[in-house]
Amino acid sequence: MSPASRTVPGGRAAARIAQWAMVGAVVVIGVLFPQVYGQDFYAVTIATECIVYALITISLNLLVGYGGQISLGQAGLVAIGGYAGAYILEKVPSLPFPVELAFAAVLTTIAGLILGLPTGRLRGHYLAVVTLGLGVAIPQIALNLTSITNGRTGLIVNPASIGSLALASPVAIYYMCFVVTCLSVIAIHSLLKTRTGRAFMAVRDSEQAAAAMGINVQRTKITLFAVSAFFAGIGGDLFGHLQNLVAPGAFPFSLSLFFLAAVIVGGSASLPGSVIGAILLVLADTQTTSLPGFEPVVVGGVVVLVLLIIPGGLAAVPATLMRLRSRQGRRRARTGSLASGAGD
Amino acid sequence: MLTVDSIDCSYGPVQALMGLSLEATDGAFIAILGANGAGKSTTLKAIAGLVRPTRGRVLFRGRNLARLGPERRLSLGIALCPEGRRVFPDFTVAENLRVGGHRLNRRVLGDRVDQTLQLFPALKDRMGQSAGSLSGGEQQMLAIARALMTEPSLLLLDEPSLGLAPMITRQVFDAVDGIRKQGTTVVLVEQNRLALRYADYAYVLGNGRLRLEGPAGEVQDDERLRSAYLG
Repeated sequence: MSPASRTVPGGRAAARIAQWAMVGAVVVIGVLFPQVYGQDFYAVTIATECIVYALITISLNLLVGYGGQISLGQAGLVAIGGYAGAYILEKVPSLPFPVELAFAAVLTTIAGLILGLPTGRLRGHYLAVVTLGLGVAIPQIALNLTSITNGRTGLIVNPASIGSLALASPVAIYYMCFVVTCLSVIAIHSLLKTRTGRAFMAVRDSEQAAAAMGINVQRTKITLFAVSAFFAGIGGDLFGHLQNLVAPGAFPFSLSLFFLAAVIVGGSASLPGSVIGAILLVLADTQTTSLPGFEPVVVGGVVVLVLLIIPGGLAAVPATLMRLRSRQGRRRARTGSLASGAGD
Repeated sequence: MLTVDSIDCSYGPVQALMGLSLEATDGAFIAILGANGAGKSTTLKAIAGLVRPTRGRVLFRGRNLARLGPERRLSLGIALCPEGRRVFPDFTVAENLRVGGHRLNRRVLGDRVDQTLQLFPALKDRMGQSAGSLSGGEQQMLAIARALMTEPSLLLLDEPSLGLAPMITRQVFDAVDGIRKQGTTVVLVEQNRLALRYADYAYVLGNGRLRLEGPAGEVQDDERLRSAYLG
């Protein structure tokens, strides 16, 4: 599926070093960013948006890239997480942030479980339509369930707090999102290496073979939807804090498509790919403020452009380069031996 | 050990098996031959629990398997190596084996990988390599090794020779023969008649029905074998 994972054996060690260097660089940049741009609240907010969108994109990539399922309604799950966090904070303003986050995540997980139930019978287009339905229905429910969601106006999201420390400033929200996203990515990365993670990918590659290995295909798919929803819920809670407000209009269908586009641009079944894909599309989106009404055109244009040049998505770039280089090296070695006249 | 008692299987309106019966005694090497669409794979799937017969019974060690899903049958000792190899291409060789041991206890999983690789020395050198980068023969060996992870007493093999060169096919059959000699009962589905040199009893299917059965040597010389292939 993904060419990135089909590395040549000799390049394995080098690839691992490059991976760790990249992770290190991302963490260093992530930590230092507000130290440099801390005065520029716009820049910090955009950076926070990149981080939150990256987490949500990864949650969707779990489903699409690692699990081989499809969802056109990830924004619906994000909305549930956002509303859940906002609601519980409104009721208990002093609630510690981790508890609030857990509440949002668990509630969204339950929604994901329910969404995962029909996957035994539904796949492909049919699953796409069901998830699309969820994505469209959730904002409508939020619009009409005024006693909880406050209808069209939405809910103001109170600042998160840990003890007496209120995380209200853009820089504080940035760090909150950064830490939560890093921890989530570590958790997901570890999960993918466990038996459950391998089962996700086994079911993706061949349901029959997976079933023959004793993997319960149906249960694995439901688990996959639940796990994806768990992290989408965390992303949704962060999303609420980032916007200071959750309202039905904040979770349109186009947002679900945005996350799916980020997965595809970044490369399916690649965590770094999702991060880069999300950042690229968020940045492209910010460039469209001077072109009102043309946001989807610009974002769509970026998607088409990337996929035309690199069909496997941005995550496939290193593997493509490496293959080109090794091919070039081999060619050079061949012509070199010919030139020196060293035949057999 | 295994008794398939006049089963019918269908996919929607298409009936794939009609009244099929077969038997495998402990330690036997059974071959099931037939042309494309004869119902060979369906037979194995019905034994492994991936397909539910609409009629008839599958008995394993005298126990009716009707209510048991594929996982439970695997725990009882029935392992299927599916058609077309179906190794997980993005996983390494070691990870593929670990998926094969999905239902094993975590603590024994590593040891089991090592034990299984003893049978397939060629795979040992490729532990960290992705399965998609292996040759066809190596992938088939890996698929068989993966099915052996749970130490099954009954190994179901679905056309392991598919897409392999004759020499490689021979190697794969030799490996299967080695597994059988260690006491595992083998049911091998094949189009390749070479299977008859290894099996001790054979069933020939045509259009979902049993056409011919008998000791492998006799079936090999039987004229009806040819007609079963030619329809």
